[in-house]
Amino acid sequence: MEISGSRVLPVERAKVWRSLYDADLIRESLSGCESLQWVSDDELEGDVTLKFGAIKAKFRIQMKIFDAVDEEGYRIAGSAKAGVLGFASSEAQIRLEDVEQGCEIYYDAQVKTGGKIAQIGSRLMGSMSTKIIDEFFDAFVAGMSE
Amino acid sequence: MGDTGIGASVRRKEDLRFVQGAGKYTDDMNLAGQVHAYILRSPHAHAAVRSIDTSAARAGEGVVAVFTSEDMAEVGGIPCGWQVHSKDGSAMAEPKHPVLAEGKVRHVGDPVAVVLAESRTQARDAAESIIVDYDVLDAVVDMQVAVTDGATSVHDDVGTNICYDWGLGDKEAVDEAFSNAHHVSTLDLVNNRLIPNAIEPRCAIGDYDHATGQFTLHTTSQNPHVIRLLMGAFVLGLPEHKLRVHAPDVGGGFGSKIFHYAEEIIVTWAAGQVNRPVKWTADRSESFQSDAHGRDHVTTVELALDENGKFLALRESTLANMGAYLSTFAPCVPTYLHGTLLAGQYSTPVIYCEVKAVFTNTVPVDAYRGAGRPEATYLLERIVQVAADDMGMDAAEIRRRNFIQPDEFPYQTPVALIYDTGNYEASLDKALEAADYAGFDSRKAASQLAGKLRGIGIASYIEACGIAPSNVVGSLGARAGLYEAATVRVNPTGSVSVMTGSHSHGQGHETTFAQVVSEKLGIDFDSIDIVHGDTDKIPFGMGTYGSRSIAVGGTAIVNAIDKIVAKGKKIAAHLLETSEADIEFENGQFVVPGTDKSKAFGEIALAAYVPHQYPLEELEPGLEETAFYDPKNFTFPAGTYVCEVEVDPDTGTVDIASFHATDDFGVVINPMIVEGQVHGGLVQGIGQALLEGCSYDDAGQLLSGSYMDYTMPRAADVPSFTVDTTVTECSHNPLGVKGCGEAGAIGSPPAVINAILNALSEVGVTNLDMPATPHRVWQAIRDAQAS
Repeated sequence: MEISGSRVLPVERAKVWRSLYDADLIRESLSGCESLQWVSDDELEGDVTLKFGAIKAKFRIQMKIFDAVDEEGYRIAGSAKAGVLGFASSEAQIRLEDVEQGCEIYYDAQVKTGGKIAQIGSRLMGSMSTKIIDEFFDAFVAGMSE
Repeated sequence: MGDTGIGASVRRKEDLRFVQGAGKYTDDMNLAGQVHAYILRSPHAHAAVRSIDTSAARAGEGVVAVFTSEDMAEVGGIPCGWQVHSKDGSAMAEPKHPVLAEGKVRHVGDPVAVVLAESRTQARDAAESIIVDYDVLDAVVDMQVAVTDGATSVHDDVGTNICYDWGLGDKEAVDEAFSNAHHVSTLDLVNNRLIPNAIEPRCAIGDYDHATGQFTLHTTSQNPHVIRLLMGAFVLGLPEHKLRVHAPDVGGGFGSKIFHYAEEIIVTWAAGQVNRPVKWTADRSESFQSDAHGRDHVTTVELALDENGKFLALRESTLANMGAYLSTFAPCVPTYLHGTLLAGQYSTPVIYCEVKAVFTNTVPVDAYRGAGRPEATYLLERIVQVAADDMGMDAAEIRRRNFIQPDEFPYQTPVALIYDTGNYEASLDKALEAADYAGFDSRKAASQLAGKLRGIGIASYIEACGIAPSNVVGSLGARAGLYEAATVRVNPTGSVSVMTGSHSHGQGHETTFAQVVSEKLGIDFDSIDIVHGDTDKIPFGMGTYGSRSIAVGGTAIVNAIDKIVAKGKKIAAHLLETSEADIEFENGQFVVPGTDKSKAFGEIALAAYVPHQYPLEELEPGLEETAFYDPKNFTFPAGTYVCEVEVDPDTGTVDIASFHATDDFGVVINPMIVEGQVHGGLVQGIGQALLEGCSYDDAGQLLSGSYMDYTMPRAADVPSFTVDTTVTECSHNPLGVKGCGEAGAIGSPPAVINAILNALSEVGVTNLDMPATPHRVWQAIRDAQAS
């Protein structure tokens, strides 16, 4: 499925860009994220626990950044494996633009799910991702302002 | 035997234990020292398996063993029980169906590894830590894509995704008839893929006795001897005397428990490896992605007619989904259980059918209640309705005009089958009368006033039950015989135990078969027990499917009873000091007509086991006989269903206003049980027509994998049915029975869809695929209005 949208952040673009590389801030902002660390200049690994309707899945996530252009955006590809419950994978384009209030971040992601997560949770993916993204940005903005 | 014999609505014996919660199902069994198996399944529809790291799982708490396909190198693949040949004479493609994935996974749910642990939770936790390195490949899901050149292959060694390209009938004659026809009606349709959903999920327990080398498999099966044969001979290499297969109470099958599944092999083999019983029970999600699915055809059908609406020829072309592997009887479902039924109740002179069976990255597809016959009936009764509409004819009249007439039996169809008996117009008339067909217009007018669209639909179905005879099905590719066996054991004091190869998983055999015995032997119904489901107790029999139990299994019992009576006459003749020819058996008494000399059945039984006054020099003691019965032909139940619906054009909701079924099942043993079977079948058919639809996304992920997304019919979705029968007796079995298990599911989908399309005709909708969900109906109405 496709998840795309944008969000205006009342923070200057350079700071948003730096914060996108701040693994600790992302971990604190992402609900259910238990660990997240850089394993190379452009690769992240961590653990996230998510609830899909009746099932709760702990994902081992791996992400890699491509085509990064300073303060403008990057492409990020990730996989999330939840053992016997299946997997999710995504590829997303992230783009930053200056706006009057600060910076607008655009995201355009293709998400695939598999196994029991698709079997039980695909119907819930849309509403769930909207909620996760909204909560993430709220916390992300709050974190940047600290 | 009046109130317990043939024709009596005897209450079901088995319900006493079922309603008390005292049924004994496989999962109710727990063996001392058992370990629990968890099966790690593929989350991908199509992927190469680069490596499987089980080291962490092996070290998991409570883990007894972890197995992958490497450990099972000595174990054979899962065999297919039917080989179909293509038009060109070549055998179907039959790629290996490994028990655990070998280098590749081919559908979501394909078993990859097995963990045995002291508890189910420990096994599952350990499975979490198995690391499988998948190289994800493109999945092929849509059959129409799968058959194109360059499509991804499900099986590299097959090359294409076509399992076989089969044909039946005289193509030249059909093409000729079409080219000269007054009118040709054409229809493209989809027979939607279904997921079986028996109440009881599958379960299997393997047990091994190292002292005797004896293996036992307790399993949810409709045919324990078939499983023993397939698993013993073709998979594990176990001789039959060292392998017992036990299928105790089974909570519904509908075909899905005919087949030999990987889990049965896994628990039996693993029990030998770890020398402890091994238990596996599916959870509901697992059932969705590992029980064989049903239907899934994409079809084009054409009917040629003359100016009077007489059918001249029928032509069908179908893609039939096999899924990723060939399940046990999958190849015969869209061929010999489908193409051969295309005459229906009609005297269509020439018919041609071609079916391409297609591999896709989906769960295997196999027989499901009706198996091939619902698909044939659906396309036929849909195209007949299209033809009636095209020609401006009444739905009942076009059928009446084309029915095979009662004096034409036995009737040779152009698609191999020979119908023995039937009276199709009798069922049609009875159903139309019950449905007040003549009064439909006034009901339609009333609906109109309420802003609703009302429609009426007819389906006149035929089915072929009790698949037979063995030599014929063998020539068509069956790798098994299709007889049935029964042992009738008269105990010394006159009670009777009947060991049958048929299996009851909801049908009520323990009652119906006892009624037959009670009638034939003239003994008390309560002194008869029906024993089934255990290869250590019953003679080698083929099990229950295809509505065969009473026609084939029941006949085997009758034949064994005939042997009992024949021997009883010899014993009676000796005791009554007369000749055997003078003895008659009636109402439980061996009598010499015209005299007062008689011996009760119980006296003969006792004499047979306490042979003090007994012709020992001529006759063995004891009173126990076995019969194997191989039918001469199929049986041909047939009937007409009339469905009336009311559609809300604003919401697309379909309400089934009434449903009237008239079936000819031949002689009915227990009308109450038959009515229950019809009700169940109708609900399943209405489920297919209105609610149920298995859905995969393009990547082969199962989207309808729970009851949140796969809609089963509920009581509120169906009306109170009117069910009635007509009777023409089957000519080639002694009971005159035809079978009733599948009819409801076969005849109802076209009746419902014809009714909906009749209702929607006034808003311009001419075609609609199942399931006719409110969204789909609403969309069809909007699309028709837009065009």
